[in-house]
Amino acid sequence: MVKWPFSRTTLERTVWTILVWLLFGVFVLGPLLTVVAFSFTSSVLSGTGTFTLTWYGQLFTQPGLYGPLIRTFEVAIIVVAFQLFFGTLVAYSTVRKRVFAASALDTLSNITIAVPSVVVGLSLLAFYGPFGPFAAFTDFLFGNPVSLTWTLWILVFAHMLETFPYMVRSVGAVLLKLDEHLESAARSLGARRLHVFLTITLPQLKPGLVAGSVLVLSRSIAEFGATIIVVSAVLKTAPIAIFTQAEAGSLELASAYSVVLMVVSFVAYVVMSRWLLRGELVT
Amino acid sequence: MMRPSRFTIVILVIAIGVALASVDLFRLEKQTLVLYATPALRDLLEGFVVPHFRADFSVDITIVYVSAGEQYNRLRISGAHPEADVFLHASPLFLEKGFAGGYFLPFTVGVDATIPATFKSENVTGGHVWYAFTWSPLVEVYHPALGGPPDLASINMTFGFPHPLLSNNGIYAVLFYENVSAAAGLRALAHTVVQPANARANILGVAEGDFAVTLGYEGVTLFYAKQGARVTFGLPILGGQDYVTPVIFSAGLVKGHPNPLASDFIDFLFRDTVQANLSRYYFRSVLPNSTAPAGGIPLPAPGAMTIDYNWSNWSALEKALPKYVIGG
Repeated sequence: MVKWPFSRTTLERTVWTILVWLLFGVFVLGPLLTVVAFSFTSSVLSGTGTFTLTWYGQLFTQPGLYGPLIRTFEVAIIVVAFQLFFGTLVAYSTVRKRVFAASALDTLSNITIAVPSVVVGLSLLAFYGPFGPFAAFTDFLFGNPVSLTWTLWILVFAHMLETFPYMVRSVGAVLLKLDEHLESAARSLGARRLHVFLTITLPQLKPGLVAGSVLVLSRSIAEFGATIIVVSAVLKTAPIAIFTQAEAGSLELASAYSVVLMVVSFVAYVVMSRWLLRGELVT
Repeated sequence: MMRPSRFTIVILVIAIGVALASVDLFRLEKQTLVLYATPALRDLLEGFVVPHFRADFSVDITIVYVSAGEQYNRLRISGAHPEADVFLHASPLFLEKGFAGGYFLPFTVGVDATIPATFKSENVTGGHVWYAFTWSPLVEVYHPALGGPPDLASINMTFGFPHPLLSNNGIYAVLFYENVSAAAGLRALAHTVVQPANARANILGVAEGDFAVTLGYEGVTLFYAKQGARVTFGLPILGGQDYVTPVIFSAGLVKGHPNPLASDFIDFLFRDTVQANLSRYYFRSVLPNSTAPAGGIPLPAPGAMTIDYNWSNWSALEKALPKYVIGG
């Protein structure tokens, strides 16, 4: 009897490898790499496109085109800073049960993952618009209804709502694993609560803060559904510009925008996870 | 000396980033002049008006091109914080309607005395609701193979009736038919399968063979014809009679406009340099003794009947619009 040259394990592993990589290639890498290819093509729609750097040239030299890219990163950094404070506060409050109905708050902090982002945008428009509770409240207080429609505020709020669960979950996961005895010991030695938080708790939260920041940054850069409802023409972000260009038939320029976003998100991920954590990456 | 930790450096970088980003975003929001404009004006605005205004006033300008109806609705949900400073539309209907709704301010341009009455709104307290800064005749656009403009009274081929609730082009088409022959309008609608949402899409519909005939703007048709699009045009003919309907591109000043240069921009539109260059972009000047653009229809046309509308009567004009929506 002829002996099969490969063990059953090796064969199984090979088949699995081919199958999984094939599926991954078709459903994940394929579409992304096609976008990269389109961004270097002179004309996709003509079907006779050649290699070109024209679209990147336009993207980085025309203010109307690179403006949305800058807006995207500006909004993203504001949102990351906000989430470092607010997301951490909520995670700490819920995990350490510092508030009433902590479990309910913990569950509700995931709500914007479950709700479609376009609904989030509409909710903001309803709440902060001229006919919403915010305008009524400011009218009651100051005699002047304030509407945030088409302002920077509502855009930042939209990104905050959309990214908020990612920071809460990342920080919360680390908080759950922390040994509270260290904090109790410090407090029993006379340290004030804030001092304990800043010198003992916060340093240990670093992996959660970094992981949360990466997620918040990536999510904010990519945010589309809520943004398209609330953004003004002046503050248009890159995903909106991608949509506009694609709708106008300029797939090449839309692809160039997409590649820039992909590269920035990837670099942010690598830098923040490798350089900052030095092996402390939260999994 | 104690070396700052990596964590402290990151926090500092983020803090500086937030400060710089906030300053830039607020600056952009406060200092940018936002124009809501019809796509029909894209080349005129981007090719001439905006670069020259920017050079004179050193201001960032953002132009938003969406249909008139969408822009009006966007303004309505703005409350006291409008996004736009200036509206540039192909008809004054939404400007009159918006003024009645409290969304626009009356104003007076510096050259008011030289502008004919048909190119500005009736007098209201504080000036005028709108001024037309350029115009173009409504034309019958058709495929060159047809030889000449088919008579709209007996049209028997595919028609592109522009969407009357979204586009000003649709408004002009409805008003034309309602004033000349409502029966012919319904006949045109019966031959319509595609309803373009703006004047450019309308002309491209003929060029690409989506329909054989439409009513569009001379300026937009010339723009595409000069680029090689297979379209031709003439004055609309209905029952053997030619008609001249001026499509008036009007400027309105948004109430609560955030940018103080909004009025300067409108005044700029009436400067001799702008008015003298309109024909390069296939439009016509509103100042007396203007000439037709190259390839445009010489006016006045002998025997043609001119139709002007009383835009202040906007609610009556608007009533007929919904019945020209397919499936509406």
